This record gives sequence, C-alpha cells and structure tokens, in this order.
Amino acid sequence: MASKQISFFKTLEDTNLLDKIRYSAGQYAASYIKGESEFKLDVDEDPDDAASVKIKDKNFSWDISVDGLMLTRKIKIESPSMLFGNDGIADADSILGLAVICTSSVSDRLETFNICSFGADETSIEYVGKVNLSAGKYRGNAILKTVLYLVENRGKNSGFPKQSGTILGELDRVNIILFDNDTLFPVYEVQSEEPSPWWAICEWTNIEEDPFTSEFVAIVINKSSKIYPQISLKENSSDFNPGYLAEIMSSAIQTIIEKIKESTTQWNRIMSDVTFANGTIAHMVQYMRTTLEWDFSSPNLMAKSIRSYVYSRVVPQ
Amino acid sequence: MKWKTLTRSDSSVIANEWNSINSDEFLHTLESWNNELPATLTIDYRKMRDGLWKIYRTSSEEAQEGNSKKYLADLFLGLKMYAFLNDDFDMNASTASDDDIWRFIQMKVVPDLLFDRWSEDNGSDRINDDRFWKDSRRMWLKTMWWYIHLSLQGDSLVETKRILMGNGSDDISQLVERSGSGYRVDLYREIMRRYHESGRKDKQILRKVLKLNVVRCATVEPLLFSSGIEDYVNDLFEYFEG
Repeated sequence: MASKQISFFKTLEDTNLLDKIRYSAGQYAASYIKGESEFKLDVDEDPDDAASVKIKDKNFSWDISVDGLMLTRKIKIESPSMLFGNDGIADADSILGLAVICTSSVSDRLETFNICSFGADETSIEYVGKVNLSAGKYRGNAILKTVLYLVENRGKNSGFPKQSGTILGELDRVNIILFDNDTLFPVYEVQSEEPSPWWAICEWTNIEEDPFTSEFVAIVINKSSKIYPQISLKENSSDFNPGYLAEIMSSAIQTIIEKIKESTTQWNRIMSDVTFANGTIAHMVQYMRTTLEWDFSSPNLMAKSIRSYVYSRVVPQ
Repeated sequence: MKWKTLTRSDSSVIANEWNSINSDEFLHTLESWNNELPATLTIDYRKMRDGLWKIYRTSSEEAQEGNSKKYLADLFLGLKMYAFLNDDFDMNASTASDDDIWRFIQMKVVPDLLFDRWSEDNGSDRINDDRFWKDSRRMWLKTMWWYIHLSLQGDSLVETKRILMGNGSDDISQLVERSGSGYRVDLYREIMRRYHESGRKDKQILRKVLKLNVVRCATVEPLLFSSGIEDYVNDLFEYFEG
C-alpha cells in the first residue's frame, strides 16, 4: 500500500495542478557508450504494466554492470506559472526544479539527476531529461520518479515551503527493468592460465528446461590472454578492437549452436514450430532462427548469417 | 570473474545441518573446511579464500589489544578486503548488493573464517545465522564491504582508514542498517567525514544524525539541497551540537 506523508504545506498531490500545468513526457530512449561509439537499446513497454519498461539489447552486447545505461526523454510543462502564487504550491518568488530520483532497492542505491530549474515568469518549459546510470552500480530494476522540488524560496509568504530540496510533488514514475534473461547473451571474464583467449560454456543438461543463463551457456573471455586488451568488455582500452570481439562472439555462438545440434531430436524440435518455455536455451535458439532470421540450414550459411548480425551490431558502421 | 550464488533457502538448509549434527560430526566438518573444501573451489574462488584468510589473520594481528580490538580488526579487514575484492575480482556496488553472491562466499568459500569470527555468543546454535546468511544488513563480509564503501573518502583508503579509526562496532550497524529504499552514497560519505570531524564528543551523535536524516528525507531530498550535501550534513550535526 502506498504511504502518504503528512506535510505542513501543499504538494502537487493535494491539488489538481498536474492537469492544469499540462505536463507531458515522452518515452525513455536507452543507449550506452562503448569506446567512442553510442549503441542504441530497445525500450519495450510491459503489456501488463503501463508504468514498466524493459531495456533489451538484441545484439547481446550490453551488460549494465559493464556498460552502464543512458536514458533520455523529452519533458514538457506548458503552464509552469500555475505552480506559483496563492493558487499554486510555491511562493511567487521561488525557483523550482525538475529532477529524476532514481531508486533501486535491489542495487541498494538512490541518486538524483537534475533536469532544469525555472521561475514563475517562464511561459513554457521543455527539456531533455538525462539519467546516466553508471557502470557497476545498478542491477535488476530501478524506479525513476520525476519530481518537482524547491530550489530556492526568496519570498516572505510563510504558507509555502522554505527548505531547499523540499519535494513538492511527483509528476510520474517509470519502473525500468534493467536485466532481461530473454536477450542478454551471457559473457563473463575469468583469469585463467589456459592459453586460449576465449571459450564457450555448454553446461546444460536439457536445453528445453535449462535457462539461457551463464550457469549453462556463456562466452568466457580470458583476462590472462595476450589479446585481452583488444577484446576486453570492461576496459576502455585504446587497443579495443570491436572486430575481434565480434569474431569471438560469432565463433562462440556458432560453437554453442553446433553443440546443441548434437541432440538431433531436440534440434528438430527447434527447427519446427514447437513452443518452448520462455527463457530456456531452446527458446532462445529458436528466437535466433525465427526472429533474427539466422540461417541454420548449413554450416557455411549459419556462419555467415551469425556474423552478418553480430558484426552489424558490435562493430560501429 | 564469474560470481557464484547461493540462495537464502539453500543457505538455511546448510546452516540447519551444521547446527543439528553432533559434536564429532561438526569437528569433522571443521576439518573438512580446512582440508577438503579448497579442492572443491574454482581457481578464482581458491584465490579468494586464500586472500580472505590472509587478510583476516593480518587484520587481527594488527589490531591493538584494548576495548576496540574487535572493531579495529573488523575495520582493517574491511579496508583490505574492499581493495582485494574490487581489484582482483572486479567487485563493485552492483555485485556487492547481491546477497546470494555474499552467501556463496560466506557459506561455501570461507565458512571457517565466519565461524572463527562469530562462534561466540550464538546461544544454542553453532552458526550465527544473521552473520552467515540470514540478515541482509548483518551478513558479516557484506556488511564490512558496505561500511567501507559508504565511508570512502575520494579514492583514498588511507584517508578512509583515518576517519574511521576512532569509531566503534555500533557505528558499523548504525550506518549499514539504515539503507531505506537505497543508499545515498555521497551523503553517507559526507556524514562519516563530518562524524570524524565532530570529535565524537557525543558518542550517540552518529545514531542521532542518521535518525534525523531519515525524518528529513520524508519531505526533503538531500541530494537536491541547493547549497550542497556538505551544508545539508552540517545542518544535521549542528542541530545536536548547538
């Protein structure tokens, strides 16, 4: 149950100002930066929850713990002046601010992102709000609350809040699901004395039951390898070569699929229209065939179609 | 690093077994932790086990005898472990917020270390459940990692150690157990800096300040305070310092 804080001053929730100020916001756009390139991510609305969106990466490269996440969206208030004065929630001489409060209880983190500040004389405000979730700080999900807050009150009217930072109301909130088992190809790094710079993990017992997670299927990058600086997912090394990484990912995916093909019965089911449980390895490989349109009809066509897809997304065009 | 995890329910089963077996069987378990457990671990986790034991031993040795020996041993362990896990295993705030990762470390990698530290005062149980696996805010190694993370001064562990040397064990729980819906990391770091600066004349001032902060956060967002976090924190302390 949502709690209501007892406040000694009016907030947006105590008024019908949210309609009157004509607040609107677009959908968040998601991307991340690797090296000097920006990569776009998909933002899918949750059909069961209008206030939730899932961040997805169909090229399997994005990992929020390594890459972070940049979210942007347009925000508009057409009649901000109505927030000020006796019929508003702030003194006419106040400065108000718009900010996003990002809370992720699963990540044990709360931080804020300022968008803009404005006074009573603004006729309309329109900004692009930016939320930059740094690498290594977030996992799971986060709630982004767009709030109005008091930057400064220079007025003398005692009925309005004076304390800078006072939250005057919530404009909207979006639940961002940051990790999606359906689309993230598991890649992780280890320190190993093995000479190989990478290898594939194929540890499943049943592809129709085991989830598509790093415990069962993964690409492993060896940090001890001499070419590690060129393929590192974590270092922003000037030696980073996206072509090498794309080739490793392509080869590893091909290896994993070849391994799955060893079970003829299950492979035939993947090649048919059998419905598999969401999130299983079989479901994911079928998705590669049907949605990503990879051609599994022969080894050479499979190698080509996997590379066409992976290179187009990992190597900046 | 591929982090392994252990769920709360699986941890409960393991702890119940450790608590229920007879003394001879438990002695055998203690021996197996020392003799057989390392061979069951991956290279990374073996390295982690060796490193954590070394840190534990040296931290205990460095802590001077006296009233605050246990706190200082914990503090030294926290500082060294923070650097060790972050530098050698790429631990960060994201992975450190995952209880299942800590449960695996505490129950599967260094259970003997946890037992050595928390074997006293467990009542009829051998295992201190809260410190081993049960309480997210009290699991020992996790708590110490976050105590250092929330107190970190810039990037300097030397400066962090300096401001934390005069604290006590109660300060660890006061800080780490007040997460709310998420830690305001920069705010807590400033609170810990200012706590050190206060000279701790009032032994209860950290508890009072953190409680007042919770009350104020109901209406004010400290991170949006126009004159900055430092002023906000100063206000909290001055409320009690007069």
